[in-house]
Amino acid sequence: MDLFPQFLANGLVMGVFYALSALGLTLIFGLMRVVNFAHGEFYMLGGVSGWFVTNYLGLDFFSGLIVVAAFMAAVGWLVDRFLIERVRGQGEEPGILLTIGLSIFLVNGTLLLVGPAPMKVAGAVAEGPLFFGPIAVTKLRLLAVGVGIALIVGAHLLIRRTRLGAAMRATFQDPMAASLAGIRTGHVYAATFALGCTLAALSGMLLASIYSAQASVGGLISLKSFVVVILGGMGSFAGAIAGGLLLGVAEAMWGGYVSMGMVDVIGFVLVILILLFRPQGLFSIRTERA
Amino acid sequence: MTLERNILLAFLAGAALLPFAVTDQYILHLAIMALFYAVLASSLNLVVGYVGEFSLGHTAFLGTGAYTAALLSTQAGMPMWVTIPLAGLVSAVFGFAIGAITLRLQGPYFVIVTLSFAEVLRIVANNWIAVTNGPMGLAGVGQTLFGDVAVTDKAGFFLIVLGIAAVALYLSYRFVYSNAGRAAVAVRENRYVAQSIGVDPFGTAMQAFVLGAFLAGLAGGFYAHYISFVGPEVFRFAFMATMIIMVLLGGKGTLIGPLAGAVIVTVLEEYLREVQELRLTLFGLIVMAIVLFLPNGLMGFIALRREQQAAKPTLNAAKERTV
Amino acid sequence: MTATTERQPLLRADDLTMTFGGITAVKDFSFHIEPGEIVGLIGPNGAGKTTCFNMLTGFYAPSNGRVRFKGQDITNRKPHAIARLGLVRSFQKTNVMKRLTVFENVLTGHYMASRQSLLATFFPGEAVRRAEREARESAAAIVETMGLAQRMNAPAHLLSCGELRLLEVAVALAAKPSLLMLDEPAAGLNSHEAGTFGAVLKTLIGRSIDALLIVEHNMDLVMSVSDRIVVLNFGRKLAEGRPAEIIENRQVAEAYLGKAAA
Ligand SMILES: Nc1ncnc2c1ncn2[C@@H]1O[C@H](COP(=O)(O)OP(=O)(O)OP(=O)(O)O)[C@@H](O)[C@H]1O
Ligand SMILES: [Mg+2]
Repeated sequence: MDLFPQFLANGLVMGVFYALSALGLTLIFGLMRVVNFAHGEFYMLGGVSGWFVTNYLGLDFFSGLIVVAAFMAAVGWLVDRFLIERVRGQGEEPGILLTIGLSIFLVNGTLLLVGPAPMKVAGAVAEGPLFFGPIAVTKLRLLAVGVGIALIVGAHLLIRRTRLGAAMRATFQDPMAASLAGIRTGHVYAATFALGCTLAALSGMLLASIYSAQASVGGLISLKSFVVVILGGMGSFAGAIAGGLLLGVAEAMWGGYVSMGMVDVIGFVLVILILLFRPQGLFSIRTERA
Repeated sequence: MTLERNILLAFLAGAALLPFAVTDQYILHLAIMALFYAVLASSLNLVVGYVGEFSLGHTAFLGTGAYTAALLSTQAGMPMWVTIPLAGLVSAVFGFAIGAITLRLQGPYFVIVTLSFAEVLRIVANNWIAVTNGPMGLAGVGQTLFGDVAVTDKAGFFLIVLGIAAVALYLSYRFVYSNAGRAAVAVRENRYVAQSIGVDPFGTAMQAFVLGAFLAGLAGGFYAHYISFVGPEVFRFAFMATMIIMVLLGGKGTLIGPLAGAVIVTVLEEYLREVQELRLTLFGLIVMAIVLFLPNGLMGFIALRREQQAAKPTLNAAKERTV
Repeated sequence: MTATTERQPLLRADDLTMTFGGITAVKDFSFHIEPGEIVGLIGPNGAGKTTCFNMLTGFYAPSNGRVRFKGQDITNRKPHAIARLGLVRSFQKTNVMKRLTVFENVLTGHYMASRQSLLATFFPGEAVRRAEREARESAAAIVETMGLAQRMNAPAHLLSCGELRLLEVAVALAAKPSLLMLDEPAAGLNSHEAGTFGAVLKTLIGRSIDALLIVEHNMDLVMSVSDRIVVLNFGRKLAEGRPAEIIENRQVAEAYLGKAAA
């Protein structure tokens, strides 16, 4: 019983990570109605390119983060302009298939280039735990949680408080009216996709400094992100955060008290139960759309 | 309809002659895999093409079938003629249970939840060591067909998988060209019209889904005996990716499409066998290219060409009428 | 003794009400249809006609009220279950199976007549083959009746607007309904085509269907085919009567015809 606070803390830390990784997915779905099956691969590319810029270009962690953000924004922009745009307005299925193809391409292309071995991204601070009463958290994790929260808040402000964000929301609500009002909707879609892609990549690099980057990690990340997003309600920002925390804590408790082996089942079981009883997701009491 | 049937019959008849014409074990192995994949792709096509929803969890049924056959064979020493049909039946039961949950969902929810089921089964297979032997898998799956007749060579396995393919194509053909198949197409094309002519969308989708699960289970049962080993990898996404490509490339919603897709992709895979990553990289590109440029696959492309040919004379006829 | 207790109406709706959030689209609407009747349901745009169709056929669950069909309470039943009782509707927004041919669309419409067990699907016997043959013959006949014979094998997406509306009616007829409900079937037809169409509708009664409920903005058509007309305005019943009476009705003229003329 003594371990409960520690499990809870571990769960909440993981929860923030889950929420952060799922943010890009829910943003792209909420604003663009694209179900991005290549989401985990963008996350993976963030980690791998983070490894590249810190190890080969010798950048420190935070400069690396900025370079990776710029690079992945460009990737996201191009993917939208050259792929997603071609199936816009054709319903969900072509987008799903297209991004499945993209994900298969990205995983295996990366495997071809850098191989399957884990790659460690140099962290911003040294390893070593901090103690808060009975709870121990490593400095690295604490920092990652801080950066993660900053990213979540930043993305929220970008969408709520900037002109780009206003254009995004307008385009999402009524593309026709938005384009009549002079908004270049093509650019807005591309920018949204780029933003979602960048968020995925940044969480990938951040977490690669704790775990490590690996070419094949994307599938699992996509799945977990889908779990988080369905738990919270597709397209909802607040839902993604709640869903992330819920999944993190549920897994930590299950792993701590029941069994370590089947921990990954929890998320799927939750999703199946939720879709059975509350198909709109747990928290979507008409939550704001991103 | 009759054209499609004749092509299928010709394909099966041609295939039946293969083991007598070819003794090269390697080519026979390829042919076996092509037919195995043809069954899988046809079964996935029943879901993708006739339920109209995209399942990413079809490996659940492949894996269930494979484990069923492997367990029955290694634990109870049952021969293939019992294990393979039972593998299909157990998968069909799983299909019914999974369908009862997933077929209420649409679009991305359906995609993700079917995928979740396959993942859950994979994790269970990995961890329920008492039954599945965990990551080590079940080795030494028997090769007896019935009594003490054992299948010892590739030609034997080829004839078995050909039999399964014949069953799969027969059942698919009957379903697709039946009243129930038309109802499924109606649901896929227009849910409202379907309901207003008395079609129960859920019940109809369930029929196609369970049939697809049954056929995938048969394929899985065969696979267990042929490879003689089953591990949690049968639930992996790689199988799923291969099946998707076959169905999309050939053309979903047709019977010949998945067959053609299976043959093409099996041969292609073999060419690129040495370089697994390169192969899958290309697969990814192919999937994207198909979605962008050939959305109805090769069969759709051929049908479109024929439709255009056929449309020309009617256009002229229409002109004559107006004059 | 009123007429309704002696003879069951084919369809009877009592106090149907439908609210969407704050909007009340239909309020306490009651009406009935007798066998052999053609009833016209009219009203200005947004009056609630389509909403009524959706409640009667199970696509919407009414917020209040009941629907009885052939003496059974069908309120809150699933659309396909209602269709199986013989109540079949068409849609205001054209709804056909675009990628199938005209013939295939109508053949698919015969679903209920050819329903069979799973076993019979996989191992069809003589009965199934006969049902299939009959469905095909009937489909061809219906296509003919609706004047689409020349387009028999054309994919539906190549059809003109008017032809699509006819195809929709053909698909609904294929389901062999006893009560057919058509939502603006003549939208997109020119006045000559609408006239022919009206004549076809009248021949259906007693031959293919028992009764017809038609929503239509084409007044000439509605007035000429209907035995009785029900007028909806702002979700409430405004008037009911023979076409001649409705034309005379001042309130209706104000609410509807006057507005249309303005
Ligand atoms: N699903 C819905 N959600 C919200 N409001 C609806 C819905 N369906 C209909 N309404 C509203 O109900 C009212 C009645 O609409 P309905 O479509 O039944 O009218 P109608 O008589 O068929 O009009 P029209 O002649 O234009 O077809 C309208 O105000 C409409 O906006
Ligand atoms: Mg209407």
